[in-house]
Amino acid sequence: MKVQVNETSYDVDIIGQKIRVNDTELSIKLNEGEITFGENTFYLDFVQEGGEEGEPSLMIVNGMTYLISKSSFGYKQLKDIKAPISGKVKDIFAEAGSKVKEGQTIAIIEAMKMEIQIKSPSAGIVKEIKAYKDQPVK
Amino acid sequence: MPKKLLIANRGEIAIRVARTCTKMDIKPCAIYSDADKNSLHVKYCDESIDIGGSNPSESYLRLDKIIDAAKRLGCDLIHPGYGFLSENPKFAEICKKEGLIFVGPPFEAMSVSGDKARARKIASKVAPVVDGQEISNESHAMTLAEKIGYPVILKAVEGGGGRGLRIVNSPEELNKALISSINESTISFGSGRIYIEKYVQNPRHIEVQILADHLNVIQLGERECSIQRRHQKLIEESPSVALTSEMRSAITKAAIAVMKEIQYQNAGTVEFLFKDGKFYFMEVNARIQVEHPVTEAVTRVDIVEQQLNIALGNGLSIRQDDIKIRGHAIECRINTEHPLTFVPFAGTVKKLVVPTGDGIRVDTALYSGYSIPVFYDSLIAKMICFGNNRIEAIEKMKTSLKSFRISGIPSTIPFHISALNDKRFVEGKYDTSFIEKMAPFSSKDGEIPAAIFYVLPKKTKFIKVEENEEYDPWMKSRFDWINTFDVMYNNNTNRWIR
Repeated sequence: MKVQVNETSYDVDIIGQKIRVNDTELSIKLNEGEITFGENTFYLDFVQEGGEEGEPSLMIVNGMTYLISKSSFGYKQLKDIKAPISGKVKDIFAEAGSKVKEGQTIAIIEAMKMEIQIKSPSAGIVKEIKAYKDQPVK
Repeated sequence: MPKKLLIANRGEIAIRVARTCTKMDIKPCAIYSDADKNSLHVKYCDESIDIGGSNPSESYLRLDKIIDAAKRLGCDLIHPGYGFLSENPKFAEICKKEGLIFVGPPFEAMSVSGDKARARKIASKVAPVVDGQEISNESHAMTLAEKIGYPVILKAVEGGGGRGLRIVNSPEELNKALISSINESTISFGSGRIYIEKYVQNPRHIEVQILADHLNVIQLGERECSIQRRHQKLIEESPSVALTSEMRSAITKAAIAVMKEIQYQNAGTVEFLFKDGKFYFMEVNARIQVEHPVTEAVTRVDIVEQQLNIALGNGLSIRQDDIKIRGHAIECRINTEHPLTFVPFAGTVKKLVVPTGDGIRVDTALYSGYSIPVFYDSLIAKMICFGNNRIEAIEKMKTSLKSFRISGIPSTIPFHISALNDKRFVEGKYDTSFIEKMAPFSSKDGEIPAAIFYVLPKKTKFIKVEENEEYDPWMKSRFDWINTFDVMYNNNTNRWIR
C-alpha cells in the first residue's frame, strides 16, 4: 500500500508478520504503541484518524507530528499553495487545522483592482497559513 | 507543633508547594473540587478538604470556602500558588483579618501591582516606561493617541493575561478598538478602565525575579519569556541571551527600585519589554510564577522556601551576594492541545513516562490513567532542563521532549521540538513574533514508523478490547493481533483478511 507521510511516499506492505517498506523487509519488534527497529524505538503518542474524504491521519510519534494518508485516496500532501499573481491578501477563510474540500475558496487576493479567489486544489487539512491579511504577496 | 499550610490551588503548583512544605517540616493541606477528586495534588498533602463545585467560580475562586477549609484544618498559613486568587488583594486582606498568614505580598502592595495605571505611575519614578496614560473618554483617547503616535496599544488597567489588549494602527480604528477593549475588560475583570500606550512592535519579554523581606530586596536574575502565543508564554529561559552584562545590571537595578518603591515583600516579578537595547517597565506580577523553576535551576535557590521564610517573619535566609547565576536553564510549558488548531484537549492519559536525569526537572500532576478535567488550565506539565551552557540545555531539552511519553492526548511537545530546532531560537535571535514564522519540525526517522502505525489494523474482530478501553477510543490495542493471527491487507478491496 502506498502511504504518504508528510512530504514523502512509502510503500508499506504487511504480509503475515512480515513488514516490507519500499520492497525491503524490515526486522521490526512490535508492542502496543511501540515499534522498534535497529537501535531505535518509536512510540505512538497520539492518533487522530483521518476522515472518509482522504483527509490524512495525524500522528504524534516520539513527540513529533506526522500527517499520513493513503496515496490511493488521491490525497496529496501539497507543499504550498502559491499566489498566482502579485497582489495583496484581502481575506483568508481557513486556519491551521481547517478541513477543506477540493475547489473550496481559501483566500482572496486583490490584484489589479480585481479579487482573485485562491481555491484548494484538493481535499485535505490546512497545515499552516503562511500569509496574513493585507500582506503583499507574489 | 509543626505549622500547617493550606494550598489554595491545584495541579502541579500545589504539588510544588507541598514538596517544600514537607522539606521545611510544615504540614501541607489540600483543597479539591468535585472535578479534582482523583487529582494527584491531594495525595501530596497530609490532609485535604472537599470544597465541592467544579468551575473555578464555584471552587478555587471561592474565598469563603477556602478560608473555611483553612480554619477547619487548623492551618496557620495559606499559599495561593498562581492564577485563581493569587493576585486578589481582597484574599490577602481577608486572610490577615482571619489571622491566617498569606504567603505573598502585603495587600497594600498587591493593590498597587494589580492596578496597572497606578503601578506604571509609581514605577515611572525609578524605571523607564513606555509613553502612555489612563483614558477618561473617547476624545481623550484620540488626543492621547495623536500625542503618543500610532501604533498604540489599549490595555485593561485591572487586567492581565492578554485580555482587553487591542493594537491600534490608525485613528479610524481607535473607537471600535476602544469599545471592544472596554467590553472584554468589563467581562473579564469587572472593570472597564483602560489605558493607552505606545505600542512596541515585536519586543522581547524579559522579567526579573525578586525576593523581598521587610529589610532587603534582592534579585535572582532575569528570565526571557519571548516565546509566546496570543500573549501566553510557552518557553522561558535564564539567563537571557539578549542582555549584555551592563544591560543586565541596569534592568535588575530598575526591578529592585520598582519593588522598593511599591514596598513589596515576598516573591514577585517585574516584567519589562526589551527592544533595540532599551527596556521599559511593563508590570509587576505579585505571585510565584509558572516559570520560577528556571530561576531555581540557575541560582539553586528554592523560591517557595524563601516565600515561606518571609511569610513566617524569619526573613530571607540569603543575601544578594549569595546569588550566583551559573549555567543555563530552559522551561517548556506542556499544555494539552491539538498540535494544529491549538484547541485545548481534555482526555485521558494512557501512558506516562517522565524523563529523568541530571539537570532534568518535570513539574506535573499527571499520572497514567488520569483524566484531564475541562474546567481548568490546559497546562499539564513543565519541563525544565539545565545545562552548563545554553547549547547543552537546548540539546538536553530536545532529547527529553522526545522521550517524554504522554500517550493518549496531544500536547505542545511537537511545538517545543519545532521551536528548539528553529535556527532563530538556537542563535537566540528571537522576539515575541517568533511563532508567526516557525516551521513545524519532525525528524525523517519517524516517517517509516508512522507509516507502519498507519497501516496496522485498528479494528479487526480479533482484537481484544479491555473494558475500560471503551472510553479510550484513541487506540484499541492495535497490536494484539500480531502475535495471534496472520492477517493480510488486500490492496484490491482495501480490507484486512485473515
